[in-house]
Amino acid sequence: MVAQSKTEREDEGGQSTLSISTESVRMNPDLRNSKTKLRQERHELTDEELNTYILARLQQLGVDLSVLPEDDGDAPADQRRILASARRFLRATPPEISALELDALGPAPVLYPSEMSVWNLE
Amino acid sequence: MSEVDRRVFVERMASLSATAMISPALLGSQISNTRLPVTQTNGGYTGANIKLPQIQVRQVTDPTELTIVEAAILIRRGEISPVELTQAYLSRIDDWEEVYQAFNTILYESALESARNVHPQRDHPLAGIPLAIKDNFFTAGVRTTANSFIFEDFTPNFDATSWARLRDAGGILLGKTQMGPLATTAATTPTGTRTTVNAWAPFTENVSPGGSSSGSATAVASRMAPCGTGTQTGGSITNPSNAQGLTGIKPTMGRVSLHGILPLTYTRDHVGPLARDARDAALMLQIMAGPDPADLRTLGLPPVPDYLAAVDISRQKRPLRKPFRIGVLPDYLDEPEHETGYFAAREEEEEQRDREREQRAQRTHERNVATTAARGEMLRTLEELGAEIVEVQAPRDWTTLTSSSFNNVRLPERSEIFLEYLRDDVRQFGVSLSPWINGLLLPATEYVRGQRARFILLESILEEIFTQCDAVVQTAPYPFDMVGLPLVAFPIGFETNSAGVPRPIGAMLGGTPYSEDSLLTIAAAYQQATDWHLRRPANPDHLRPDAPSGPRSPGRIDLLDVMELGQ
Repeated sequence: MVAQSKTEREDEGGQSTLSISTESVRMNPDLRNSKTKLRQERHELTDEELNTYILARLQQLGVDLSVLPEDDGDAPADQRRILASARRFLRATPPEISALELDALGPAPVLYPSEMSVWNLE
Repeated sequence: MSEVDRRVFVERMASLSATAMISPALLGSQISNTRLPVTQTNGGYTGANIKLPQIQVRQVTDPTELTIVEAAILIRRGEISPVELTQAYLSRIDDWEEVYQAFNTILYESALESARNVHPQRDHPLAGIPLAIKDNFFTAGVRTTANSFIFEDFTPNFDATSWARLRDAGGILLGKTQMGPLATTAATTPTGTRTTVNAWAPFTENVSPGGSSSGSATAVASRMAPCGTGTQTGGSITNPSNAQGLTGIKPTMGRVSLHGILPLTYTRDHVGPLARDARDAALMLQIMAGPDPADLRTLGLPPVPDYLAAVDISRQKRPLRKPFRIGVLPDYLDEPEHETGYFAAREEEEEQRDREREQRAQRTHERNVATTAARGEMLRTLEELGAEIVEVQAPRDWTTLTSSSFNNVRLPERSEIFLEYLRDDVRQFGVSLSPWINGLLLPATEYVRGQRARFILLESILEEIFTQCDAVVQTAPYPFDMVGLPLVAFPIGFETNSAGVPRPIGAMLGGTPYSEDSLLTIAAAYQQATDWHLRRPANPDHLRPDAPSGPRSPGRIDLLDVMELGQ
């Protein structure tokens, strides 16, 4: 996936390569602008702000990271690396997915697309 | 309601009833010996319709060189006994397991006992064949750990359906194989210490054995087992198969039951074989595939084809002549770039780690150059076999919909499955914790949009690729994993520059839903014309005579690698 990640970054650089072929999907130019805006916004979110968001969400679920060492590169997991990974995830994944505009009358969510494709056969 | 519709409706209702009966035991409660579902099923497998192909068995001096089809034929002829065959594999395990570390449980006594009790019958196609089973398959009475802290003391009381079918076909449980913790990455202990090595380069730490099914792959490649099973959520059958010169098939979602497999996701887990050649893969899949009332995902699907007939091409000179059109994406034969941009974008605090990754990337680049050449040769061979090679364009939304962000839509599923364990103590997840935490952070809005995008991705693949061809080459498993389409992996060459020893180069082909038979035909035809699949790695003492006889010093995988490189 490394190569694809690089390509994505290139594609996100204001090019129109994110246009979608299926009629029910489109990358609205305004949304693409707002995606750029989203990227700017996420740069404005500091590590501390994201950490607060992450820890609040985990606390709400009852998941406690404080049992991990704070910063120990020799440990299987520590709070520093877990939070760093989570911050990177939040800065990339949700914005990119939400930036894809789908027609409200487009396809419904499908958990098993390959099966659905044959279940629909006459 | 037509007869077909009525059958599908009845099967679905039956499956929902079965699920309803077992769900209280699984959902919302931690898995323990007393809380597990007690459904014992082989999905109705009888094996009565599976007949061994009649092939000419190669003359070999060591029975561990035989494929499972060859061994099964010799067992029926009485030319080798199941005990002799099992003992031959146990002997190799005794000699080399300390180096390879492919197993976490080896069943010396019970495997031999099972071999002594074999009575070959027509409807037991695997009678007397020892098998290596990945350690996330439930095996009744045998510890099933998924290499995790969570299940380190777990012993199931029933068999996974797919293993039950192999067992009922006469298969012998030789051992449970090493894997990435909870099927996340290459095989390590829960704390991240690497276990299994690549059988072709056991003393070279930077040579990956493949994904989380690497224990099974190494066991088969090193001739410590004739065939193995794996699971794939993000490449873990096809990647280790390619890394170790094997033929692996990742079937379409629903083709093989997931009942009794420790889950990583609901929507992307797949079960399949890692085999020596396409014929063995066909036999294994023939036995494992089919509807299972305990897994509703297997119901209402097209009938299971005759995979053994699909690989029976020995008398055909041009076995791939029409209707086989093999699609090639435009960049498949491009000279690979030396990737650096991705690493440069990382946070400053990880600069050291990034430098190490840069060095790995340099070695990968050298290997990619050899891979490109091998791909060209493979396409020429397939064309000579009668296939039509056609250039196809990737769907215009391919880059977006197959990006790592859309691939990450799978993560909340694992987090939901293991939520109670995350609440109990996150330390139970060891080195693989990160994707579980990240899965908790993906909002439901994005999850739903991601699921819509998956169907759009499938439609675009079917409409824009598979209207032009019957199978398409792939360079990574993720796009087809994302939408549940089938993949076959097989060896197409070797290179020596990246590790100083010969390493297999593999190819992957993807197909339409439930077209595993076509993919197996292509792999079998290619293997009829080539001998890459017949090559075996040298024993460790030939690769490094001065190697110490004791265990090698293991490397470690980092938590951040699990997030980026794992399933």
